[in-house]
Amino acid sequence: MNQHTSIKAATGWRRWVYTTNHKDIGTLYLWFSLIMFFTGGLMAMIIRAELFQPGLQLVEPNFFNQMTTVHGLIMVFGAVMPAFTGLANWMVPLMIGAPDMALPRMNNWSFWILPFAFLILLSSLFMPGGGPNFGWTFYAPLSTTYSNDNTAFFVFAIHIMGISSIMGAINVIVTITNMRAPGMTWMKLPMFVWTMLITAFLLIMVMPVLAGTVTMVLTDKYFGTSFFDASGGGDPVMFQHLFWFFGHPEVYIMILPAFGIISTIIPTFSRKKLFGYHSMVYATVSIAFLSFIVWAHHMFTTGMPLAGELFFMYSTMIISVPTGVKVFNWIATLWRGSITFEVPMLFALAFIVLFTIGGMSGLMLAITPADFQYHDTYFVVAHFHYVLVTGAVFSIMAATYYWIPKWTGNMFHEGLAKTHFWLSLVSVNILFFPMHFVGLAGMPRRIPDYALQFADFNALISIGGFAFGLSQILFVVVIVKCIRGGKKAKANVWEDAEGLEWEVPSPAPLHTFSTAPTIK
Amino acid sequence: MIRSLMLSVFLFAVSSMSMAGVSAFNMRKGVTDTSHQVYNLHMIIFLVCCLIAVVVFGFMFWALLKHRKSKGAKAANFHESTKIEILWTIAPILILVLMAIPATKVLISMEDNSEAQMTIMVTGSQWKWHYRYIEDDISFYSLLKTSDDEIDNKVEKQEHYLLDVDKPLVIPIHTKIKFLLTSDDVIHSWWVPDFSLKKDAVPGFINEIWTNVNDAGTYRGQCAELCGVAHGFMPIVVVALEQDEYKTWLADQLKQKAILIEKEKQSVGETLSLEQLMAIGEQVYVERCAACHQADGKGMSGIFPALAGSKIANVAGDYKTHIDIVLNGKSGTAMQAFKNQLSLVELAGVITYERNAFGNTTGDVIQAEVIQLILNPVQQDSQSSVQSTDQMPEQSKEGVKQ
Amino acid sequence: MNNKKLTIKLIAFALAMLLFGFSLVPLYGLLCEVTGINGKIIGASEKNTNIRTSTQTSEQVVKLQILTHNQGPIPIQIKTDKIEIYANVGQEYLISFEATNTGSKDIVIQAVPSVSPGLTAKYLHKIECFCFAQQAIKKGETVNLSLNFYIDELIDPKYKQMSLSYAIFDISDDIKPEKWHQLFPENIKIAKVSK
Repeated sequence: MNQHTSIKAATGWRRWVYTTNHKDIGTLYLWFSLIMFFTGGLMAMIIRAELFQPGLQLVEPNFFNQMTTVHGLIMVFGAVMPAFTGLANWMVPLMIGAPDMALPRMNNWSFWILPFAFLILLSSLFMPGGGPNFGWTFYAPLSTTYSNDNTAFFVFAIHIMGISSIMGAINVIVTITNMRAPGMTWMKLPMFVWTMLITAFLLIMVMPVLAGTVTMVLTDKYFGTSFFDASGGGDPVMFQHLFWFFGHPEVYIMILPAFGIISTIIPTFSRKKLFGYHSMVYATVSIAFLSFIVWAHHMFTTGMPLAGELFFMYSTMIISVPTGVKVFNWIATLWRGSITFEVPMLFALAFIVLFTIGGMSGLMLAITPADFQYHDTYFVVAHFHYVLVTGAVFSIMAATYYWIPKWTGNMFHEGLAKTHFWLSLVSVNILFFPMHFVGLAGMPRRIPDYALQFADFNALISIGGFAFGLSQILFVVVIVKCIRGGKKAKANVWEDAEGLEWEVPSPAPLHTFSTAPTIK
Repeated sequence: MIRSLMLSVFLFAVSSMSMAGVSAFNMRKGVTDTSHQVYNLHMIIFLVCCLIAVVVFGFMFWALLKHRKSKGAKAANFHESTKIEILWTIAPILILVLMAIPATKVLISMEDNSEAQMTIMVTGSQWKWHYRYIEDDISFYSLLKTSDDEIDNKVEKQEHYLLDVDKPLVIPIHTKIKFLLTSDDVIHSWWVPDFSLKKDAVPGFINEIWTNVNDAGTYRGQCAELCGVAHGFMPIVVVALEQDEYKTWLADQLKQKAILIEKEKQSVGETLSLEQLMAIGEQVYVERCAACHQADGKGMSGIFPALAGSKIANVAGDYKTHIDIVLNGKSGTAMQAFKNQLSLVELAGVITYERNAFGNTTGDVIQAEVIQLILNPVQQDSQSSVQSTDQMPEQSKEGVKQ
Repeated sequence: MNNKKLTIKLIAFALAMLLFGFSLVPLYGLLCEVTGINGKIIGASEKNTNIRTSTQTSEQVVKLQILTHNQGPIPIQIKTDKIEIYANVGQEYLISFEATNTGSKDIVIQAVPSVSPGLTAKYLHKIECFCFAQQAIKKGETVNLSLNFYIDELIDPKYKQMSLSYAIFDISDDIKPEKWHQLFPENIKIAKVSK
């Protein structure tokens, strides 16, 4: 790996632009994700400010729609997915005893095209006509015939994000397949590595389908094809089938790595091995498989024949079985452990409870007759924010607190971090829990203004939203303080933590495992 | 004492809410057999989920309380048990089967759309609903009634803010009604929570749902699928009437329809002044056009074109394209065809207004008969139907004074 | 397997998935036919080449609603005297429509049929239909359109009501100049200038 010698020489901005080192690229991904988290978060604040009271106060409905759309796109493709890729970059080689990722130069590319994708997407917000305003799900024909002229920017941004994700995924698969230290058999892989591997497979299976779908949107809008236009023999409902064929596995792309993180953290602070490692692996594989046969549960109201509705209802309900197994295994791991409550553990425990709540509202949504009432209301918004914010985002925060001493060599400020946790926990529930109620009471999603009976809950939700948003500033403070200094961290930061990453010194030197470690 | 008082107040509040079937935080029971079934299903599944949550979180919090290091807990060494894994795979499956049975039953009854007694075609378009009674040949648009001033917080919001329309859908109770849903432009979704009905209106295709309402009353819903800028502003109001009241309503509608046709005929012969037309036009413009083209006629850059100073609306005498767009809309854009939505006088008024407001200075005065001529060139061309083919062009010249 | 080989395989796999994405378009058509999504069947807008073998009629009656619906702002009025018919299964029916162009331009329309309930779509056989071809209607002109159909004997007797809705699309913009010339020989210029 001769390119490593050249990196050592590079300093300043060159170090970051030319880097092929998995740790540097991991760091870049994580910073990028944090910036995007705040960008998307700012949009959420605008949305919540507008919805604080009935009536239109701050923004035009068109701008509101752009905010909901871009908030979704940024959080999914800019915050959550790059965060997991960043964690994988940093931790997978350390966990499997590899010197670096298998394809370091491709690794550099897959990160550095990402900022351009988001620059293109965000710049369209400032162009005449505005950015995408058709929801992150960009249903045709709202996104084709009836969208503004800047839709091409949206399409190209998605293309670039897709290429970046596919390259990242290929890298993860090749690394895990070929670069494991001798003795690191498949069934000895840490859970996080397993979940990243399966996630990477999901990515290379569905991102190309998304790329195909946005290409069809592009040709329908600009080149006169009619994939989604009934007058030319197309069908707008087909768009939704294509989109959700990508979209449902995408949901698992955002939650499987979270499962891996929680399965890593819970044993450490329970001082006990993960309960049911094998069933955890099988459960992950079966969730990934099932994710391909449930897509149409997002589309019950589009008008499906009874047989289709029943099939997708049953298959969706079945997903709760392997997911349930995971939750039970975590609790069994806690059971008769020797539990302590360090900050990563607090986030992991919050994850278990709140993700389970999100899972249960998911089960309710699977019941087709009830879904007719829940669909496209705030009940759905509550559901997927429980899964993605208190699920995916909380797991990323847990992972950050868990591994940041390894990354920086310093312990973080525990008091501030705990404050961050408790503020986030309380505010996130004030933010998302009442959404269940307004949804059930009949408030549709993606509306800039609402009827008077929803006013009280919406004010409460907005207050929770602002509090959650402000709390995240503390997160940045803790991270920056930790980078600048603090109590020195040992090699094995957390007593009894298992894994190869704890065998290298803290901070992890730029090059680790140049000679492969031996696995017991 | 205080406790029991509070309890009874609470119980009273809960029961009064559930009697009305409307709650600030739960699904409505609604007013159809289907909606009752769906409500019950929702409650059963919700309670099952709560029970599971209590058990699962119970174990978890027990462990967190009792098995903590600070209490001297020593970690046990077990980490695998096939028996227990099988147990907690099978148990959820059984619970799911128990949930699936009632869900399947309700779904089958919901999808049984045979033997409907009447049919209403519901068409969504940006951003309003159109209802067509297939058997009775009545059709009308239903638009948001809430004023812009209420939305912009200039006046106090009324009780049914954003959930009120100018002309609600009227249906009889105890009648199986089939709704055929379609759309003119993008996908909309027709949702009335009290009937437990939600189905997408897809452009180019039809979808079918049915209902049979038990109680007379007014029921409100909204469009549930993001359909563009004014997605939040296209409510649905359904008034369910006793069957004989419905018959009276229907007869009245047919009578009004006849009167309207008569009125339109008369208005062709009338000549209004610029001021009169401007007054009519301004009102129509504010209600129907200002949402997109804005009150100042400047539009929204890149999305909705400006009327102020535009080629179409501000070249004196060149009004044909303008009228054509207002009547027939512009395909591929949000501009709709207004010819069936507004009366001849209203059309004449709004076009006159647009040509003479926002700094536009055409001075064109468009009379109802000009619209009539453009709308029905058939009468002009075909030999038999129109009496005075030769005079028509003369009149149209007189109709427009510059 | 070395890194390069595996990488190439994975890239090929991703490209294959891209192709799969596009192949979902015809697959979806198949899915619609089998499951009745949207009440459309493959080639619903093309002429049926299968020759009818049986001409049995039965006592079974289906109430069929035949509707037309302009897709957005199109100055075309379509009238028919039979919005509802009680059709004997197996018997052929002829429905005629009058379409009038009330606008100021020549227009080409395409009708797209949709049947509800979706599962009955495959039992409604159109022998001749104005939706099989584009219809050119000059401004002010009225043309006659027709539909000739029968309902298949194989239809499940539980279906007693069906709706057939034609969505009428204005496809003038998609017509190439040569084609336009054929459709409206006398006024090519006006038509193309206005587009």
